[in-house]
Amino acid sequence: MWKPTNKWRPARYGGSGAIAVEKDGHPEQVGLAKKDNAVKEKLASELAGLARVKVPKVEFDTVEGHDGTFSVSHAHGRESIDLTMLKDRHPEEYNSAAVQDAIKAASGMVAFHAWTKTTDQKDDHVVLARGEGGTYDVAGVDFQHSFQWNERDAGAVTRPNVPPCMLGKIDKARVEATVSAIENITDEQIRSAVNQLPTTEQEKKRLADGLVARRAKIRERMKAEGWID
Amino acid sequence: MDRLKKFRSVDWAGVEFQPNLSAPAKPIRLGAVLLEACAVWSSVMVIGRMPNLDARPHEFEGVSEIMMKIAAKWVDSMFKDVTDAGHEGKFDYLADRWKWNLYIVKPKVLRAPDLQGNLETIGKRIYQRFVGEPFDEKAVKPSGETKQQIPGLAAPLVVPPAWQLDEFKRRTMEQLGT
Repeated sequence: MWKPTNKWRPARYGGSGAIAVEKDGHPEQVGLAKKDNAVKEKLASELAGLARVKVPKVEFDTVEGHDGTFSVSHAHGRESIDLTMLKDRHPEEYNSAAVQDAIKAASGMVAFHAWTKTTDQKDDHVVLARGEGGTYDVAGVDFQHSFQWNERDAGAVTRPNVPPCMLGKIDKARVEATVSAIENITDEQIRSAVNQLPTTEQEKKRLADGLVARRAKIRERMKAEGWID
Repeated sequence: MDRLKKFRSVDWAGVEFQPNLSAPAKPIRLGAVLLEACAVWSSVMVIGRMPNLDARPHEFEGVSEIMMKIAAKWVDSMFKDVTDAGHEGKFDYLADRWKWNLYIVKPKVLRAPDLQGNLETIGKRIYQRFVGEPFDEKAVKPSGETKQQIPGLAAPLVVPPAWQLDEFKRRTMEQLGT
């Protein structure tokens, strides 16, 4: 059980059904609870762990005073910084080596977005976070526009929409590492991640079959884009 | 004059800072954003305290340099944002840009008894109520700088104040109603 908190604020005061929450009995844990597209948020988080790209941990749970199951996305790092705001108001910090290196290190996200067919990519959906060690990393957030395929084989893997902050900064080695990690994910791991979702058997089959089929097409797309050799 | 008073309204939102999302503590209250609307004009005001980069307040110990630089300029940056925003949804615009560690809280409408005085007077009153101390530069930096005697040092060390106060206001002429 989680409960609404005043210890931090997400955007838009609960727009899109999002609520800032803290874990009941564990006030040191805060997160963002979403009811809409909870299944997609959870699946993206699980797959990101397997693909070794940074997406905040997500768990299913209830929220005090609200009906139904929410996906609760854990806070990512002790500090999270909006890249759009940083670029506009603090360009010297945005252009610093620490920030630019963090963006470059997140290049593997393009392969992950291609695999999951995540289409709504903008700088607002990548977050600069500071870890406990004082280093920075960039994490992907908001996967409500993902996994949207109809074809039996999930269709062709097309060029993913790259967040503007990453344009021209794709690190081939990072993309190669993520493609390899995705290719090494087994069918069983994919089906296990999908089968825990609170959705219909038909939807589970669509998701799992699609992810398995698309896994084999990512390398070709990344090569076509010049993001791996 | 009565007509102007009748249409006058002030909405405000507090601004807070959470130093650590991984182990959140009680947020630090920094200041407020006020939006005043009248029949023919509107005004915005951002008022608050900013941590000093060279003498950070103890609440900001452990905060990264990038976050410190954001926090040290938040009044100016947020004022630019609120003036960049369209006439509608200024608070939504701010909330979309200022989130995570440094954010605005849910706006409130000021009630009639609190609408006494001009926006600057109201802003300082709101600041004192929200932050818990008066908006008084003398209270923050009694003589601009303080001197601290360090054992072993012959001359006292000049210590800059931990907080800086700042406020920005702008009035825009517009037709808000008839």
